[in-house]
Amino acid sequence: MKESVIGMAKVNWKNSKTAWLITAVIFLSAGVAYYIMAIFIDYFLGDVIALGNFLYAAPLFLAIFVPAQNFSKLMHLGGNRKNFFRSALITYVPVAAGASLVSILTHMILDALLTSAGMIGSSLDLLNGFGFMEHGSVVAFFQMTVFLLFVSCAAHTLTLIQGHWYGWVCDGLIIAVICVFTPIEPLRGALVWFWNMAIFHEYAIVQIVFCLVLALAIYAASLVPIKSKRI
Amino acid sequence: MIELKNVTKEYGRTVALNDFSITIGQPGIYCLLGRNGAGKTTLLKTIAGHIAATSGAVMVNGKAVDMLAMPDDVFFVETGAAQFNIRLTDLFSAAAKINPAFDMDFAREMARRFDLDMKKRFKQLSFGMKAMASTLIALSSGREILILDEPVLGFDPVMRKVFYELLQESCAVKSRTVIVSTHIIDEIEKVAEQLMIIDKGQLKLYCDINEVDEKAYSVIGSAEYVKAATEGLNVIGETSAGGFLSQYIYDKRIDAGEGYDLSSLNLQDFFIAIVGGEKEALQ
Repeated sequence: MKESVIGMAKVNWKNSKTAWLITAVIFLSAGVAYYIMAIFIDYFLGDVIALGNFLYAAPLFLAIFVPAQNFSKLMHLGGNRKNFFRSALITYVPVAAGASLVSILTHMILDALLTSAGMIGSSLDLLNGFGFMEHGSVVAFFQMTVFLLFVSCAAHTLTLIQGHWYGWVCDGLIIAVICVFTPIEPLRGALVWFWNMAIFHEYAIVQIVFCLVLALAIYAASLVPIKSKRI
Repeated sequence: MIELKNVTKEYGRTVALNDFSITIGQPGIYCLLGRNGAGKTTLLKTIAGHIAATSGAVMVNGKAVDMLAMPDDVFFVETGAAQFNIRLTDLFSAAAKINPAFDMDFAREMARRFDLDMKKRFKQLSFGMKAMASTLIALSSGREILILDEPVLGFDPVMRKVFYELLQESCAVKSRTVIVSTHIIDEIEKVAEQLMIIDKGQLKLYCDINEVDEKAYSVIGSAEYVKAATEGLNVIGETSAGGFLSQYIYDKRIDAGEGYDLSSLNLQDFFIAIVGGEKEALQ
């Protein structure tokens, strides 16, 4: 059972070309290309979006394409729904951690080097924007990893529920929350609270636990659509 | 062991399986026959946990089957199964990762015998070769129960012959239960040990395939002699022309007599008599 679950995760990593391709295109065209231009053409000298941030696309797109493209194929290779449920999370965790790690390393090494050398103005980095780096690089790694995991789990479950009535209800609710909560002051407070807990909380442990619990809860909900998903 | 107890599967108003019960105990090759729309695929998918029964119980090796708890012992291959579009060698490796008991040597050997180009990507294969690749994965999976839904669809006669040989070899290597649904009856009867006939969502017949040889025959002759000879026997179908009558029997053998002759009924004729005949008196 355990072997099969890990095997399924390995198959997912190896056979998610669409997710890897989109991430590579974003990383190269928007990330690397902009860095090259910023370094070699004075006109671009200024703020650049940190290179590592483009890697955050990987856990997001992986969590969309694994349930959308890989599910049936895994079943036809002898997988089963319960193992798929277990393996998908195992698929996302290392990718979230990897994206987070590389992002922090590029932030600390590449961006710092290029900035100090005057090759780029400064790098706009979500690690700074979210305030994660204020807690040190190790804590920031865990904070970004759990946040990316939360994004992955949300994308995974949202992908799976599309086509079900409760998927449409959920889509409607998300749109309603964005449209209704934002302009209304008391409701906006709820949104502020949510994002404060998920990202900006002054205590890193609170943010980590909140993201982790939320990610697992959202992920657990995906069991319902997986159970009835057509092979 | 596979057990279905009073299983009903409905698709809206259509009843695909109607209070279906069966117990499949002994390992061996089981042939599942039925007309189009008889409920064969629904039955097979229900056993594999691909779909859920509307009511009734499905058990595999004592464990209840549902869509989440798909049985680990069962490998189901359906016609036109989507696979990762990767080289066959990588596809087999992927299958080995998911099926810990996967027999890679057996898979490679079978691929060689079927002239499957392991360097080709799945989508580069012909329809028949795709079906073969999926079937090879199932046969090599090490699972105790294999369910093959129309596996020879798209195979040429040579491939079908080799396929049935390999099916027997695979069962010889590892004792297992293989359920094969097909419409090519005369070929499967050479390898199958047990026969299941399904019609309109109900089990019409479940027996040892040798029983058909022993008990299925036709009585041909003038109508009054034939009717007299077959009185009390299980008549499963009949055709008439002029004053002559042919009755298809599934019962104890009788001897040829005055005014009528006996002839053996092959499996295809037997099947047609059961599911296509006017009489439905099978007991």
